[in-house]
Amino acid sequence: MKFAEKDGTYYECLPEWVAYLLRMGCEFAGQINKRQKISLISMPCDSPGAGLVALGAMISYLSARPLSDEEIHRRLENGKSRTLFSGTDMFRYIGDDRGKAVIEEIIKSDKRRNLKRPKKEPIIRTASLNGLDLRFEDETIIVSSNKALSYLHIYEKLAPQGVVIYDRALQQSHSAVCIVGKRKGLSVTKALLFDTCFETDGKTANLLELLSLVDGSLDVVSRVTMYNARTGKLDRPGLPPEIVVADGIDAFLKIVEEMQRSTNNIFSGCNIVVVIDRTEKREKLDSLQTKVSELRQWYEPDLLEFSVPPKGIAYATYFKRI
Amino acid sequence: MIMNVTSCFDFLSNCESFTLDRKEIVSNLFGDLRKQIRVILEAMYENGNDYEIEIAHELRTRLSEWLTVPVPFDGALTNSLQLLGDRNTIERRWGDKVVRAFETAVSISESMQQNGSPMRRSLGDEIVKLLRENTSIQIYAHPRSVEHFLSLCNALTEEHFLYGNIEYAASEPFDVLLKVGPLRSVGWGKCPDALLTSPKFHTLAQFVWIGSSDEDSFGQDPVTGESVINILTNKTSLDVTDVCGALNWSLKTTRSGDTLPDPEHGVKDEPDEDDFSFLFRIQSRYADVNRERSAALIKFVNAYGILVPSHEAVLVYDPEKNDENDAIELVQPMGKHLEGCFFALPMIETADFGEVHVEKTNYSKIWKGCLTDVIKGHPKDLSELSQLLRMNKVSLLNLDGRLPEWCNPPSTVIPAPRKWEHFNALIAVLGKHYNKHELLADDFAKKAWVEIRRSRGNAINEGREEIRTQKELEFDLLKKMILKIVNANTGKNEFTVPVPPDHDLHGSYRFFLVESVEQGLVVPDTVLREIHSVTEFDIWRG
Repeated sequence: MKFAEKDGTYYECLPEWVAYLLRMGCEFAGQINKRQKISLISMPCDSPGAGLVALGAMISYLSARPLSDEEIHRRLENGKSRTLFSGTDMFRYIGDDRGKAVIEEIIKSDKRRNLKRPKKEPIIRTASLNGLDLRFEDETIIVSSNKALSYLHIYEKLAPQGVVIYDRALQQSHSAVCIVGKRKGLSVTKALLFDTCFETDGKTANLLELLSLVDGSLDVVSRVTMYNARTGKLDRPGLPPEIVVADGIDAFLKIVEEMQRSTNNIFSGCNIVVVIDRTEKREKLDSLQTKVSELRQWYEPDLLEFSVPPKGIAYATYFKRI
Repeated sequence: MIMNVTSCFDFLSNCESFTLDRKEIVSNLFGDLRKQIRVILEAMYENGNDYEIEIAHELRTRLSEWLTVPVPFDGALTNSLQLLGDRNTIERRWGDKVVRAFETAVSISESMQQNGSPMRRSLGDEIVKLLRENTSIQIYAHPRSVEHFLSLCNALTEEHFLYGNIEYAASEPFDVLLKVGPLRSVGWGKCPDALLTSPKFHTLAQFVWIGSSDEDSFGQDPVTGESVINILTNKTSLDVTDVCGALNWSLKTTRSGDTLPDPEHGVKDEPDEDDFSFLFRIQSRYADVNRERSAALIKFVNAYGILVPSHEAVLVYDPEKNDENDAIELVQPMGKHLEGCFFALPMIETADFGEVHVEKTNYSKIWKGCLTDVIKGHPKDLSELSQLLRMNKVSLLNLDGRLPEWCNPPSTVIPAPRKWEHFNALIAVLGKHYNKHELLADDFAKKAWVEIRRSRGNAINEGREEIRTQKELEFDLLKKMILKIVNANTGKNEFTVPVPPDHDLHGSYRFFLVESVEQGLVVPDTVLREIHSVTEFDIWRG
């Protein structure tokens, strides 16, 4: 597996720090349980570390059993009152016909329609779920074989030993992992992700592509959401994230603020990993220390050591007290 | 080009250990001078009036500079002391103990001029040696101190200097970092903790006066809270699992300089208290007694800044917010990180402004023209003007250097003296002694001062900002003006938006792109809410 950074230098194999952060993200996702967890990672410089941890966590979820057709039908059944989209066409879900989805087209009312012309009748379609590219309004495609993520080889090569990725998971959108962009602006985080590339078997992808973040169109399969710490908005709605990876101190403080604001918002039950750049100004480092000291009233250090980080990375984890 | 992450890790893993080479400079004369100045400062902060406190601030600034910059021991030391007045004045005002300290200090500073600075000698020798050996060096310094380094060695250039977090983070690895003064994260001589937690060199050669202590928490790992300095001074146990331990720092301490006792002054002790701890102590006590306030310094990208009370809400415009209804915010500088937002400064006209319009800069053109004439008439010797100003209680250090600065044309603010008393004295001296009669016209000084104050943004000062409702009114007004604000933001660091004419308030809002916010300054009310060049705020640093 080749790896490249923002200056375009290609490394023939993954640098130790990259492998560590991917592994760390994957193991973090594999170890979440009822006790909420916060991990802090400090880096010697500004880095795409948050993206790598998020990718590790995403890979862990790719190795979890994907939703079955029955489960997807149940989800569509529960959202029956909501409009479904397939491209720009709108549908409503009718039901399940031996595993296939039955959907009815919604005809938009057109006030300018010539009354002499016959009214358009809604079409009813029956097709396999992964061929319909259905999505709820404002959400990404639920399942699609046409638009499945196309980087299976890269994910497999990046996955720690023993982690097996389900093909079918690449066809389904997911929102358990959320990356929080730098407070300076999402574009700063995105630029770092864009400049970080992997190459294997002649196929190249950058972190932005591997994380499958939405970029404008929602007619895609996406496995990671992105939260804007400045505007306080997610790039797409979905189920509350289980793992939030914050890029920098400000992003972390914003998420903790949201988490503590109420007990029933989307972040109130999340596990957090924050990747910090140690060259940040002292005021920022102090604000992190103050927040961590405050959190230690409710969190206790995890005494089980994660694998020893490479020289230059510091790591600590806290569990919520029972 | 910024070093890539993998190279940064490669550098750390290839360096088995890092050395903090602490070179303590001994100077009996300077050690005793510091003691005498502490005696003087303690008395002045205890019992000084406003004018004397200002001199104390200047002396404190000078002492801080001596400790963190390789300044030559020249007449500046004596000049600073002379601000206190003559022997008799000091004796009458401050008593026997202070006058003795003053006389000793003057005598010592004269001896120091003859002997030269051992700090400069040691540092200069080290730089020459390192450059001769082709060692790659960088010097971490404040931009304004560079001239003192450059005067040590002709081979030094601008490229040898690093000035702040961003420059340090972007630098390529090198061999030796040179730093003068204690390792501190705030105040004079401050430097990034990353020097110790993310080193890009194998040796940090620190030149420090003996008795000056590093900050205990310097070199803090934000994850573990442990600091390299604490580990090196054995105040905490070393743990190799945190980054401070893993980097394997070692401390080497050497002493050089004038180690012989000085028989003339009978001085041989090292300073018995760290100067910065002393300054912090007396200033905190003074701040408590005089109700000085905790403030945050909001620095703008254009090298200007403003001090605001730490708990006072400020109005900001966040251009990143897509929803225009949320783009204007009223937030505390403590609780919110403002980088990338625009600080909104009201320039609301009030009744007492009369016909003064800062945009036209009528008054500043006149008095600056007169000042420029006087300076041009005496290009090499401003001592007469300085002397006259000092007689009118303009007690500023480096007055000769400030006079030409005040001639500069208006930019973000109108360059001028900070205080009304000083400005009034300047106008009076120019008018009476240099026959600039136009400055003696009715209320010229007052009107020109209003113009200056407006340029600094304190048009609606005098405590009105304290009223929460005032801020909320402005908040509502800015929300109504949002489309104009969005359109006026064309990617510049600063822009102005006039208040619509149909509104009760008349004037405009200035928007400044925020670079960073610095907390923890303690300042008197009188310096709050004024825009100045960020270097002007140095005197409020600890």
